[in-house]
Amino acid sequence: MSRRTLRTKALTGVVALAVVGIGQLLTSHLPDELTELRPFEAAGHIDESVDVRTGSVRVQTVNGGTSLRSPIAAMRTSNLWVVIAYTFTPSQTTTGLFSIEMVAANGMRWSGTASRNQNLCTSSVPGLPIQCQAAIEVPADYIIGAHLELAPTADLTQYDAVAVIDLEITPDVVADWKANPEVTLQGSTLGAS
Amino acid sequence: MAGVSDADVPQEPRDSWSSRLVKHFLGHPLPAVLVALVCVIAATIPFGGFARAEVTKPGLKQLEVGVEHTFGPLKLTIIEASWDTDPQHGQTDRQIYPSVGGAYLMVHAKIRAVGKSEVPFSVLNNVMRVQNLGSMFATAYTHDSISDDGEVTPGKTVPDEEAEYTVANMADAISLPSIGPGMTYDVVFIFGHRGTDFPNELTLHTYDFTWRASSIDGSFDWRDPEVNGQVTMPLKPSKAQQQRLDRASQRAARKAAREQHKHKRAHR
Repeated sequence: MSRRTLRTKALTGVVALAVVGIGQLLTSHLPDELTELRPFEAAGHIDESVDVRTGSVRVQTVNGGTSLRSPIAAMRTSNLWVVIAYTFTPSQTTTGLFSIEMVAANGMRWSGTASRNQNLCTSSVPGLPIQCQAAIEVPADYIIGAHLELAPTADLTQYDAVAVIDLEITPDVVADWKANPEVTLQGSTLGAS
Repeated sequence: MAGVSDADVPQEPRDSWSSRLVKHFLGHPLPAVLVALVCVIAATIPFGGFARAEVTKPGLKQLEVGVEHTFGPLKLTIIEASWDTDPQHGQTDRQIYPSVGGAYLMVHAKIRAVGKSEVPFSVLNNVMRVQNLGSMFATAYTHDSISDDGEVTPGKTVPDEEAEYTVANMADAISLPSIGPGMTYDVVFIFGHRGTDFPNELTLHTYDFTWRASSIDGSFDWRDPEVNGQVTMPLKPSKAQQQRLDRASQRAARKAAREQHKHKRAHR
């Protein structure tokens, strides 16, 4: 093999390796699937209005106890019932707010529509607020530092806007809730509170 | 060199027809492979040939009452078993009404959700099945029904392995369709049974699950319940049911005594 042929082959190998390297570099800078699916999160606090895609949401009160009195039934638990009162005001179309989840600091999630939980939030016309309430059963041991995630559509928060509300749950708050024998869930009404 | 005439060449001995046949076939590579294959198949015949082999399941684990066991995302501690015709007798806030034509078989247990996602209905409602009881209703509440004019429509009974149950929270007797992560409950697994003729022992089969992707949409979930354990425990009437039975037998004894007394007086 002549020296020239050898040099050409070596050059080809180097170019091929360089192309593969550049390809990997480009791929690593492209958004991966999980990044694409990530919702658009807007952080907020209790009694602060947060914009989501179809309107604005304001969490007003959060209360807890060892039993829940609702329009459907009285439900007791060895865990805790947490009742969240919030207002949703549609901005463009007639709609409600259909996804609410409590999320623990360790990533555990409790949905307002799973198991015996309830999210009572009717639909309203643009500009007219809805008084909503959700009751979520949670284990007392895991909820310190938990936050709330509210989104316009149920079970499909990918790509969508999500309000992330700090619930300010401390050990003292949990102790108070454990000592509270009952919380009440009243339902959803139209109009400002 | 002198030529050799055909007459001088010694003739080879002529083969028999069978050796010619073997030579003909084995002289070609493909038939040789086929013959080898036939020989292999023939060799399997004493062992059952190509018949479907019997699937031998590994032995069932013997589970203990009062000990926590893991089934997929669920931790389960079975405590005791009992039966009752009217578990919420006398309570004003009723979730369970008296059984018509039978009794409720109740397995008391503690359940706990491990992991960071909820224990779905498909796991909670398929973790156990009864064995060797018979006369099981299809679900906890599909017992006989009585119309307003007193006509009885019998409830559907199914084989033991098909009898489904309801998981009721002990604190309020309300059914749990699923349980959230980290949650712990004292529960009763409630089965429906025609009649009150129960054995003194209850055997349950327990099922484990596999975390895998769906072949349809690729979503992950706990699937494929497979029997993996067995637990046997005493089965007796609940305390309230035993008190009712005792009261009924005392009434029957008093009635029999009265009858006997009347009978004696009539024959004096």
